[in-house]
Amino acid sequence: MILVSPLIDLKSKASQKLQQIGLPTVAHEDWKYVADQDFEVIKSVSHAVQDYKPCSLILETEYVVVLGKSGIDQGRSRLPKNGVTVEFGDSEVNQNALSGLTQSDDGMVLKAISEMTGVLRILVNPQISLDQPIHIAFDESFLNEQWIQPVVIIELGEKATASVVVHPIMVAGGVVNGLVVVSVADHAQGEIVALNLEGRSAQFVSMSYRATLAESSQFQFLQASHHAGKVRSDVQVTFTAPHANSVLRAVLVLDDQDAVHLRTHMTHLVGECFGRQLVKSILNGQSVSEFHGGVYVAKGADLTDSSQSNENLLLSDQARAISRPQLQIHADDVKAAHGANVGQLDDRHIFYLMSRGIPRAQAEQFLLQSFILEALDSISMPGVKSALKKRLMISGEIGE
Amino acid sequence: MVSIQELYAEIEGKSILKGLSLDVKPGEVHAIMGPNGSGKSTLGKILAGHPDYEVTSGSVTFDGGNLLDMDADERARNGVFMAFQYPVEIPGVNNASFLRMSYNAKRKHLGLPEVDPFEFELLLQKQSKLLKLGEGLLDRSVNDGFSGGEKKRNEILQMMLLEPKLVILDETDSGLDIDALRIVAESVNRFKSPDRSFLVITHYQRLLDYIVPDVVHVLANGKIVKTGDHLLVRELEERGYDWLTGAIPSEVGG
Repeated sequence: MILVSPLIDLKSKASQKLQQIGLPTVAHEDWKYVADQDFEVIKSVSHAVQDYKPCSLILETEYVVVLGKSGIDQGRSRLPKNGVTVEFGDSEVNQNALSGLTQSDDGMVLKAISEMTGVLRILVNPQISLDQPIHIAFDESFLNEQWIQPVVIIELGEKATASVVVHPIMVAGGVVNGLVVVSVADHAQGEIVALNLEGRSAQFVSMSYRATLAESSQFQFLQASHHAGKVRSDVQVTFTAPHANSVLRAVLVLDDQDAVHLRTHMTHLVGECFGRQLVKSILNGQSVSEFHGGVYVAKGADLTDSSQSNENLLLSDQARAISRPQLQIHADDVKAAHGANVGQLDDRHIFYLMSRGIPRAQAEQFLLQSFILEALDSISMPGVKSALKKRLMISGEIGE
Repeated sequence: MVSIQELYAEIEGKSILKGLSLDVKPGEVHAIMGPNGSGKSTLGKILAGHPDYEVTSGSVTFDGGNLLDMDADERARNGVFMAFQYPVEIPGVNNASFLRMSYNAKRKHLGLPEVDPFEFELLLQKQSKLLKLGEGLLDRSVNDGFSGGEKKRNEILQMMLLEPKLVILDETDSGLDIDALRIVAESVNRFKSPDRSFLVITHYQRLLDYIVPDVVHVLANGKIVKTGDHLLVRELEERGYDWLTGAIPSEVGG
């Protein structure tokens, strides 16, 4: 697909920047725990791709956009009929929406933009409130690709409400480098659930989310990681007008060699906004989670209320949790907090449950389930919530 | 019901119980009183199966079986219940779910079918009303952010649900205002039965004004130094413990 101005210029700049900063490698401190292989050399994989069945998470009444290499598979998609535009292409509108990211210094984002062949755009018209979520699922055409770089733009008009589920891309040995750009207009409410499941057959999965919030808007994000493989997620929210509200959550249930590097960042350009970041990890085997949380409060963004929390439970001696919550505050009247803890199940809690007749194994599993339940309960979509609970809470990693 | 013979126990090498013996028959209420550090709470925790305490010698027979051979959960399912002085807060663990899991563990042990959430909620509502425990507390995390009185009432709610044979109340009166104390005590009194025994651990007379004990023991330096009837409570209130522990007798009363 031919890119036209202003993307030609953008592509050129992005490529230069990419050359300058490069892809993340083990040489970068921030990446050393996840980037333990050279992405440019695609190794063959001997094991089969996990049989991921998105259908198990999608209710029949819910909307689905099935995306393939050449665009939307209309036959397998179920699109909303009224008030929503779903299209694939490289229109000027899309280019303008993405050009705002040229300020980004993130190599993966720039690579995705500069090498994209089209954009999936979902526009929810003002005042439209979708009664069912939209699932974005990817078909089998990506399976044997070396670089899969889907770009998705989600725009919610004023007072619109929508929930979107981003399903994983099944790939054998390739690299996924996805970008999802979300724009939430005044008084609109958006929710994204990012499924980071069965990624072990991929060489590396990178997903970047960029959300911009307007006045009195709301944005909820949840990432669920399980059998994740090597993953990098970068979620950034920018508050551009007052009274906006955003909660970013992540539930990472990792085992074996899973390694998830998660960056969440909230930028408060104006005051009177509310932000929360809550990342919970259960780590078994030799898995690693690395959390980089950021809150930036610009000068004059008074009455901001923003905090972040990272809690990690280690179930094995070889699992590791690295946590780096950070605050950068330039305003005077701000409520901000950050916290992190890494540990094992509390013996006092186990004894208390046992003293009420609950066997130790059941008590431990109950504590682990409860640890992640709060985040899962925040999902508004019953089908996804139920499927994720079943998958994450009744899994070998957490004690059954 | 429970027979403790020459019990010696320690924690981290420090000897706490030093030859304690005690027999509690079915239906009896025994009060355990004594000065700080005498081993009262330790006795309760050892009976409940707390893993931090090591029994170095002695025996505890409960309902004809060796209690010390059982893990804490097994003891609970067999009918031992301790209402803790400082119930632990468990953030993220839903109180109602925890109570149902505990209730079903007991039912499973008895060979009864588990109850579903709806059925259990009805039961829970009924019991909560008796304790004047706000329904909001059932939907919150276990003891998380509860006031002192709410924690104690949550403990008593668990006691009522699990219907134990041996109830150990560890300073249940601490942190309770007068009204809450009365509500808790009334619930305990309603709960008395000929086949249920109580060990009431307390410092003060006030709880025992409501829950009148059949037998009162004074624990000092890891062993029982005096046993009497409920009149001993009044005497202790007036004279203190020094006259029993070898220190200078109190000048009050006497």
